[in-house]
Amino acid sequence: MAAIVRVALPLPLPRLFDYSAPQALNEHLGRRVRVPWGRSEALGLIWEIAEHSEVAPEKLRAILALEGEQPALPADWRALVEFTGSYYHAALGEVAALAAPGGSWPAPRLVDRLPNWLSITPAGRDALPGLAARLVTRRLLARLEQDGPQALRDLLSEASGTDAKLAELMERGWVEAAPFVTGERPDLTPDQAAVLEAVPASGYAPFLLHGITGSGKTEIYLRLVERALAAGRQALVLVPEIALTPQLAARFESRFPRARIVLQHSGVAEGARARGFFAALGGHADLVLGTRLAVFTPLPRLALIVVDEEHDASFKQQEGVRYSARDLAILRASRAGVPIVLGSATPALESWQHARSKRYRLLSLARRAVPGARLPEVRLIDLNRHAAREGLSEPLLAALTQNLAAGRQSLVFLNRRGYAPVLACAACGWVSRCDHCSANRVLHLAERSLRCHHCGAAAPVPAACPGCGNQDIRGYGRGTQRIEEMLQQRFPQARILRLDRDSVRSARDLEQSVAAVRAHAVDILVGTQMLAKGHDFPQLTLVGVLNADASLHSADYRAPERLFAQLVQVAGRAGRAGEPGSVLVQTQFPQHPLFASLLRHDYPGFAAAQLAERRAAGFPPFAYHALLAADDPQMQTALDWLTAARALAGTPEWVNLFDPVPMRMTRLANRERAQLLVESPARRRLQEFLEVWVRGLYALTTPRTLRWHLDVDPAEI
Amino acid sequence: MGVLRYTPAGAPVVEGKLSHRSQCLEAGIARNVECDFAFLLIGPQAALFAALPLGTQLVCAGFVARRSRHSSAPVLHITRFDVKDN
Repeated sequence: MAAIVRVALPLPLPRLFDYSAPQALNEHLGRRVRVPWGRSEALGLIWEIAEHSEVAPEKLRAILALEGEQPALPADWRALVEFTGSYYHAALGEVAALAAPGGSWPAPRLVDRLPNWLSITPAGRDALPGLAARLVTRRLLARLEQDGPQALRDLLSEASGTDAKLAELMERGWVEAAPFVTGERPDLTPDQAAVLEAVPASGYAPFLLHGITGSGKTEIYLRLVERALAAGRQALVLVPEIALTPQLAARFESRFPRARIVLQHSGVAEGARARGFFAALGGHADLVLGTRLAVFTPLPRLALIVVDEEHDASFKQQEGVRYSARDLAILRASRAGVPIVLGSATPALESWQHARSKRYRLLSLARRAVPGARLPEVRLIDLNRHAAREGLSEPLLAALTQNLAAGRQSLVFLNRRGYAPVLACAACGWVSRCDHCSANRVLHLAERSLRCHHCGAAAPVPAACPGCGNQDIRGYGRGTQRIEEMLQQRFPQARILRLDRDSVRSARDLEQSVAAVRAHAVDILVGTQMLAKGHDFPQLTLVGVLNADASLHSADYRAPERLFAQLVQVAGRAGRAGEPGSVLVQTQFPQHPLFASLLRHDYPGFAAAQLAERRAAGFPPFAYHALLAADDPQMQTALDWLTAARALAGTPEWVNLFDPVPMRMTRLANRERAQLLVESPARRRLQEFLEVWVRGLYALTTPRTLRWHLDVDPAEI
Repeated sequence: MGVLRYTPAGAPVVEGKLSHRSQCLEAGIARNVECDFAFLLIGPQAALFAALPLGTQLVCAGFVARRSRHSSAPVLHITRFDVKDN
């Protein structure tokens, strides 16, 4: 009798699709399958097997074929996908499509199953004399015997590229995986040793590692990973998008020269990502290093999860399935029964609150790791007393002059790229608004273009004001290009390098720029948050922060948290080696309490004040949010739909629904956007409500032009 | 005279102050006239203009516009000039 398979297809519909199959076995669960879809075909995953279908037999279609030879995606992986779908109220098929590799899956290769490094076994040693000299197997064994363990790729080239001989040697028990070794390791500080001692080798245990900038958090990660790998287990290390540099990967590679390290991030080509994914699934990869999507990599021998810079916004996906990789990593660790370490110099307030309430155990690194290195001295420059010319105040210019004369590096931080944030006409009042968004287009002088940083639209700079014909239109305000120009005029002999998303287009660009800074081929760096994180520039001793005030008075309740994290990170670039560093922050509001905490390097004090405010205001982490967002060419349509959604909810107990309102950034790419905030004091209550409500939303009359999505635990409201 | 600068689209601009000296008839009587004018010159001639030594005597033509929406002070926009040889 034919069976029914229920398939997860990559569609934004919250259901599985039934197909008949000649036979359906439990081992087919998690296999990729090709099915008919309308007049064409689609690829999906077999999610359930059933005996009966609700679909009428004459309408039930048959699967076309099982796809590929890769093993089925395991039950724990499917459970993680299901949890993600149910917690974030996203369609299962969409989550599955996100979590599994896309494109065509490469056929399994022998070489993927071979250890990364090999050595000869006693049996191999015994067999060696009996082998004919011309045999490839003999050459391979002889090399392993004479030169000791070898890298797989060297042996492959010895065997003229064929993996069959090596697989044969493995099968005969003549070679084996070479023993685990580590590269050169620095001595641990007593603080680091204490932290390592606190983390157990197994069993679910969540830790928050609060380590000041330069305190050697990465070394902790390396040692923990070493412990997992030495025990023959796997580790997962998640890092923010911006921090996954070739340098970081190289650091892990040189520490674990014989380990198979798999990179999983959006920059990895589809085929390579799939190979890494299945290498991890097969247990052949030892370490998975990646950005948020790596949280879905299946790891049968998982022993440890690390989330570096756990506060970073990039762990929360902002489109499609709006999941938080950090939060899913916690769930994964608890289900797998392994320790997890969340590390940061400025933890997310959610995580800090978990540490305060003892849900996470707090580990601290309060001193810099390099002997003699101290945290930089932070000073404020009161812009009310020292007027800034072209964005730079005299005290900052004086400090730059002095640092330049001393032959040291400086960094000028300004989180705004382009030349000027707006082009305007003083004669008639025209400003360079974006046609598609409620935002101004930014003047990029080097490219002579006006660009919207929200929708990406770009146009050449007009020769004259479109409103009145005046040619003398000007850029107002300052971006990194303008600061670079100004510094170059002021310090003609200085070597100035600008680092932002315009000057750095690829990982290679960034690598080259970072190398130039480290080689001291640069005197003054001008840049955005791109260079605030993770980079270690030993000769950098002065940091100037230009427009910190921009987010001091933002309406977003998370703005102070983000600003503080950013300032701590950028300040943390100064004085990481022995030389003392200093940080100058230009501000019009030197009395702001955020700065008082910053000057004292007092994250706990800042966090306590912020948490008190959040508690008083009933904001996360003391409440749980979900945001229903709708967008349409017409604002009224979006608001009407949200109003209907709100009416659908009635007046639930434990859950509070606010009024639909236009979003702060009202218009984006020709769509008018509105939102409806849902709040509850309890996560479980919110989830119970959402489950019913979202089902109703799918059934709601929805104009064809309208799009909606739900964001659980939104990063911004 | 200010240094030569460029509009975002790349047109050269020079601005500065012109001093005017002349004799004019007023109700049938000749009188001396002195006044200063803010001026602005946009376009290919701006580079040439900016290179003139201070004190060069010029005959200028153009139009007057206010400085900005927020200032009614007039600015002479020079569209043509000739150097007076003396």
